[in-house]
Amino acid sequence: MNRRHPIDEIFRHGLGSRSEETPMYLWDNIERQRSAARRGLWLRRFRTGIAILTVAVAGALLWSLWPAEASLLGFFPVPQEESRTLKEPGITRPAFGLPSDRPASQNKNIQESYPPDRQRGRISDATLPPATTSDGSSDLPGPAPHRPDQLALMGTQPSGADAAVVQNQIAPKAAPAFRLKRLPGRHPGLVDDRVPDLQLFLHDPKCARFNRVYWRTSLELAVSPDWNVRTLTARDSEYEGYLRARDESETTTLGFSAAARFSAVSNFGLALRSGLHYAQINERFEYRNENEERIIITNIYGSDGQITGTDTIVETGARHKVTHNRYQLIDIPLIIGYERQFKKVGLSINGGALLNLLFRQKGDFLSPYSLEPVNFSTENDHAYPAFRDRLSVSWYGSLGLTYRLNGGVSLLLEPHLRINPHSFTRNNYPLDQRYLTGGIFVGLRKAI
Amino acid sequence: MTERDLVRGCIRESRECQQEVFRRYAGKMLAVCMRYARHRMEAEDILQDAFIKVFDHIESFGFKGSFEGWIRRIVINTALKNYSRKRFQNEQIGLEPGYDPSLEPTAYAMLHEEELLKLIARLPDGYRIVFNLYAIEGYSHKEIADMLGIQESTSRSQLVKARKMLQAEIAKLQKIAV
Repeated sequence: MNRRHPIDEIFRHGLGSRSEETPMYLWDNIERQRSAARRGLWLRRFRTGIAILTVAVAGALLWSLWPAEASLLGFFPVPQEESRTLKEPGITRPAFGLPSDRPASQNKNIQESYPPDRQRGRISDATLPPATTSDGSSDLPGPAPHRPDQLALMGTQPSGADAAVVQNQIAPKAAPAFRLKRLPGRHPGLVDDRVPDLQLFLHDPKCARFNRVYWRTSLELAVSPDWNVRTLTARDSEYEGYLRARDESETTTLGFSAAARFSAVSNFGLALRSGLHYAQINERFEYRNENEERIIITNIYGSDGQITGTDTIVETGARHKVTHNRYQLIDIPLIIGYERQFKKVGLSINGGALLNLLFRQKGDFLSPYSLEPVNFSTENDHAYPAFRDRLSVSWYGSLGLTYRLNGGVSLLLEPHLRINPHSFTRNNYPLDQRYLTGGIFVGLRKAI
Repeated sequence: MTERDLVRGCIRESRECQQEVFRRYAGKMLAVCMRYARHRMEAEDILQDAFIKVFDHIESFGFKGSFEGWIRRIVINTALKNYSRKRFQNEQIGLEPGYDPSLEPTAYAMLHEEELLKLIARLPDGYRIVFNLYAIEGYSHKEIADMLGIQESTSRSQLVKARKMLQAEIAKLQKIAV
């Protein structure tokens, strides 16, 4: 093109170095907008910090509920009653022993004191053999004192040793730690070597305690074919014609998605799931124009090498263009659900949000300006700026079905629905473009 | 204050330096914006957006080339983005006027700056942008095609059409004057 075209020269000379008087309120507006932007930046950083802190605290709370040991039992049960005779100084109680190890003179008494229906694991005064003195004398003290319930049955008032037992039972004291150990004394053979020094009850023995909450964790991998329903709406009535043109030139085809999730299910059914979701929406764009016009302009040069004119050639012909468009989304799912296990089959109902990390597009569509194909791909710097850089939160709902296989692996089937409540396109684009996606995740769940 | 001092002051977010930059260059840049916008309000919006970008990205200047040229490129890019946002609207191009060979180049020289500005403002957006970039800023058709995301042939054809329209408008002014 001749840069010395007279029109070009006049406008360049007339307007090239022109200056306008600039009102100072423009400077005030610039200052105000920059200050607001800086405040907004700090506010966003503050909110991000709060969000990270909240997630960290929630993670710490979840970690604190995690059982430290694989065992869920606190202590092994066997409550012990306090024995009065153990408290008396100098008095020791021999360990249980085989009758054959004891002198015959004592066996009879001992055998008499062993009722045939002695409770397993319980040592009561009524069943214990008589105590012996620490010097090993053969003189045995009197029979063991009676319990208050026995006295009640007998209809007698407690006296002497009985009274002391009753008094102890009225004001019970903390049961001492019970330990089976080798005892010296008269009947060393009475020590039962079969009973090891277990040291079970270092503190007060308690009944079995089960932790209130425990979590079963697993990793899930699944893929899904997706059916996408697109909704196009004109933001202004003057773009209805453009909307119809886009509807006619594009069709939605089968998409797909994939998920890698960490799942934690509590013993009372609460399920928490998060991880990464990838979704791809596929469409087909077709453009056909039997009378496409293409303008070719060439310069005509004079003998001195200067451009003396232009030659404009208009070509017409048929144009047929087909493009496979795709929209790719990577999201972080935050899903909460309720899950129950019935033998090998598990059922769950889930719902939550998908936070968009990445949104990319590739393909062509009709330009609202010329109704001719233009490219809107993310990687194209000259692409038509129709789509957002990132999407807003979308909503997710599903029903889950698992079938337990071997080795902690379960088969997973999860029909799901995803709703994008906001448009994929920018506000200044003529059309609002949204999607409703349905699919069925098929995959595996592995307990970890 | 030298240009280098001004730039360094702006990098330090010195309010005085930023205001001095605005005072020195806003007038010329507003004139540039007036050529790309349809009216003064739109030109002022473009100018504000452009200077915000100048101050936000001043670290990237790097003291390579003219500071005024760097600011001008930002202003032009901002004007083009503004045009991209608004080019969804259908334009009433109307019938293309024919070229009148009887008009001498000297006829254009009598036109005042304000009249030239008005003539440019009457052009459709696409023609105006291409004419500004080619005839006044000095970009080639290839560069214009890259900047606007159009074909080079489209840039050429729009320039031709812009010139034809300007010639027709000038011819009207001449007839009215006579």
